[in-house]
Amino acid sequence: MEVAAAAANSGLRTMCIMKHVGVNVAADPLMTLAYVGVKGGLVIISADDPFMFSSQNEQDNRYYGKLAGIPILEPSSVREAKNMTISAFELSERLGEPVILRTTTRINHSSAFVDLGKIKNRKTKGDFKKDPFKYVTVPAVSRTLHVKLLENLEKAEKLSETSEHNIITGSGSWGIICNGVSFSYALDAVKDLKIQDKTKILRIGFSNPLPPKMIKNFAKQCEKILVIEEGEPFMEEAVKAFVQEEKLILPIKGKHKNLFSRLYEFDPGMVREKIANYFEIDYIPRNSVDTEKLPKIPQRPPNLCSGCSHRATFYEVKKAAKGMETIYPTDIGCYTLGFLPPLSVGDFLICMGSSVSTSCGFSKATDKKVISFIGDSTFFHSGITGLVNAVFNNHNFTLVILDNGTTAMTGHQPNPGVDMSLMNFDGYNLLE
Amino acid sequence: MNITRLIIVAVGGQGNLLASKVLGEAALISDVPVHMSEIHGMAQRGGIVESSIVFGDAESTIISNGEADILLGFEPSETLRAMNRCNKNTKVITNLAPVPSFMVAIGKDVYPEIEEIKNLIKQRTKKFIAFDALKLAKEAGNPMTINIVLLGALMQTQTLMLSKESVQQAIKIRTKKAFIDMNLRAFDLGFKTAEMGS
Ligand SMILES: Cc1ncc(C[n+]2csc(CCOP(=O)(O)OP(=O)(O)O)c2C)c(N)n1
Ligand code: SF4
Repeated sequence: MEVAAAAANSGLRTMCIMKHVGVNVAADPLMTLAYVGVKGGLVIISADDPFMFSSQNEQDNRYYGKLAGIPILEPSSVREAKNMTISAFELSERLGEPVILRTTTRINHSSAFVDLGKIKNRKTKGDFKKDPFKYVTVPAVSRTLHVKLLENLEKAEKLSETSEHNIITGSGSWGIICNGVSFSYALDAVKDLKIQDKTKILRIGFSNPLPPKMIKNFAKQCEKILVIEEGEPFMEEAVKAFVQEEKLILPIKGKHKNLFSRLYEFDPGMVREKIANYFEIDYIPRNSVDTEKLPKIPQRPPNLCSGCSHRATFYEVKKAAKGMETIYPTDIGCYTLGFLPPLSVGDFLICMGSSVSTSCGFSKATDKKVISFIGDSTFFHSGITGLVNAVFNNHNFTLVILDNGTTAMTGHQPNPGVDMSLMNFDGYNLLE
Repeated sequence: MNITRLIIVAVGGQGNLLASKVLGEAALISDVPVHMSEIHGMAQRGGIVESSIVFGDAESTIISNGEADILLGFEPSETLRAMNRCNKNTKVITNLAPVPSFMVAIGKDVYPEIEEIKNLIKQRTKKFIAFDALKLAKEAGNPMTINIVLLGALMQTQTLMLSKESVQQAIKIRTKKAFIDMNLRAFDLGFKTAEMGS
């Protein structure tokens, strides 16, 4: 995020891509970058993961837009993701603020046909004009920058009101407000249930700041509203507040024990059923075949590959620790799978780098032998700072760095421990 | 335009994602709208890979339980596991060569008899095609062509709004040059086997 902040403030269009939890790591620079703003467009792609297909949590990163005070765009399809990326850069440059393009797994792991436009020439060298009273965020500077940020947020709200990404389709007095993939499910459901002439859908694509006037006008034309959004009631709470300001009285529901959950992801059949329930439409769900009488099907949990070096390491460590009372903090990577029996090395894990710093805590708080594991990529990412502190504080634990010379879990991306010459890449140094 | 919903289940390494890409390419050739989505968490480490492919006039890229029109299974126990995605009209095509998981190898789970799997699926669906696709893949020249053998069988059922020729064309575009002939052979073997009703 800092690299991107500097590039964007040298006038270059810059993109910074990470999964939802990556934004946590980058949150410190992001919050104050919003104060400073950008010159070249800066688009942050946040890939959220409802259902946690391959993540440790399913946090809803729309709140980062609110927290930082910057715009969020949310595509509903692959095609739109491409178009919104262009639009996000334009918006970022117009406001002089970073913009978050928030996607979810079902957008990121989908394919569809897209039309390509003309590719502009890339500008890869910019210039940084010094202006310390704008760029050095001491309190006196930040106090004025925060005023500017709030003004920008007001401008963003006006843009949201007329944005091509906030769209209304259909007609009728049943209202649906939705975002992201839920829009696709809602469109299919309304068609399947044959309620197109009764239902109006407001699809929010510009979700921070939301467009208050547009939402109030929409609500005025509805007798009841259903809010369909995976994750948290981000829009639902705002819609209720807007409607209250207008002194309107109508039922608005979204997250509710009989409707949508904050848990996991939605699917088309579930959205169809909830719409039918809420608007009281006769509806017969498509039944699955009977699967009750099926025998137990062998589980297929992911497992370390045969011949994986991590397995041998775990085995040796367990042998060396035989008879000791141990705690094994572990970390994020292929080796996390070592927590499964029969190896059972992995007792605590919260985020990348936590093996090292939680070892500091366990070694202080208990009398057990603490042995922790971390991969090379994760060590360079956020283990190394914890280790520096552990040495300084004399924390007593054994850290095993599982250096397989690559970032295996996520697909062999380079990390500072990788010898890039082995892959015929020039221009990198080898850390020794 | 009608909507056809296809689910492909496989285990990591069986080439499910390439098979989906071939179908996507064929849809592009045939001007059929298509939405595809896949989940392959930890596929490299022996996990399950599932693709959903929705052809026709729909917006959703995933398929709910009970709503698949066709289930194409690359591994018999995975086909059985995916039965909750089927309704009584779903067509099911499956490979019968098992890929037991390590849970079976270490004796924690028992792999069901192939005949039992066949019967359980047959009792629950309208049309069922099952055969040893691995054998045919080897016959075509390489066990890796198992995905294309299964595509051949899928195309024989004529349930997708794609022609056989468009898929053959897509194989030529999407698979490695050195393997095109072998893949086309694999496609034919799968197609013919499905024709015989196996
Ligand atoms: C903040 C954050 N960013 C990214 C990820 C995704 N991620 C999962 S594992 C991993 C790297 C694993 O590499 P390494 O530690 O070298 O272990 P290996 O898989 O090679 O055994 C990453 C980046 C994450 N979980 N959290
Ligand atoms: S590090 Fe991961 S990909 Fe590499 S051998 Fe081990 S389990 Fe397999």
